[in-house]
Amino acid sequence: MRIVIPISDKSKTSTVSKKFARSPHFAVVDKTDRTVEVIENPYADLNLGVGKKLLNWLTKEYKVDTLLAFELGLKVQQLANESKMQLIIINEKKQTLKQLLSFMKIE
Amino acid sequence: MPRPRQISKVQIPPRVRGFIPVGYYKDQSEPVQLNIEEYEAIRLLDYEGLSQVEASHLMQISRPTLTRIYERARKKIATALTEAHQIVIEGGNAIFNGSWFECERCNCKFNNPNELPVQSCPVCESFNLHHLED
Ligand SMILES: [Zn+2]
Repeated sequence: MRIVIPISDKSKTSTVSKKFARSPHFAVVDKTDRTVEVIENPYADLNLGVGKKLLNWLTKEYKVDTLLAFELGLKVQQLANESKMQLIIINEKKQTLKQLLSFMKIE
Repeated sequence: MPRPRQISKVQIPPRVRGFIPVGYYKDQSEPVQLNIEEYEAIRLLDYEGLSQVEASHLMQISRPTLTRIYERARKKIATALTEAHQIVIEGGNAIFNGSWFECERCNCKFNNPNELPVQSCPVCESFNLHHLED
């Protein structure tokens, strides 16, 4: 399982971004290997069609199969459903990446 | 003969089961029950800003049905706000888009698009899960 988490900056104390597609950074967590990689969102400032480009890129380059967010835009939800990606919705708006990683017993 | 009620499709289960008024409270008034499809109508039209046509497609119901659901939802919320009722979000005639689970430990909700056996929470690995019924 490879989970992508939208985060506000590159540090481990970063919080989960409120919206998915425009998030400046992402953490890609591999639950099997127990690794985490922080990447920059190349489409954060794109005007149109962010969702599709972003999900294509995350699945091709990072083999992501699960999206974790506080709130997912409708477009991203639909695209994720079409490609049978799993959705995880968390209830803590200001959750930090560090807290999530410790929940997942990573690092 | 009344028309059979249309079943609404709901994208993601509501985040919470309800709302409680702040401040005043000795005699709690009866809660207002907001159905799942009424919640979804408010979410799609007022939070996501969809048109009634777009929202009715997503909920897989006719536009007039959506209009009625939305009117009911607004009336209920207005009543709750004005008369200080709790709002309970439950019931109605809706199905979720796919099967959804809630973790009792970390409170996340997750779906299961590939219909694999679900044993533990993908975030905290708790086994304390419950299947969210429509
Ligand atoms: Zn959990």
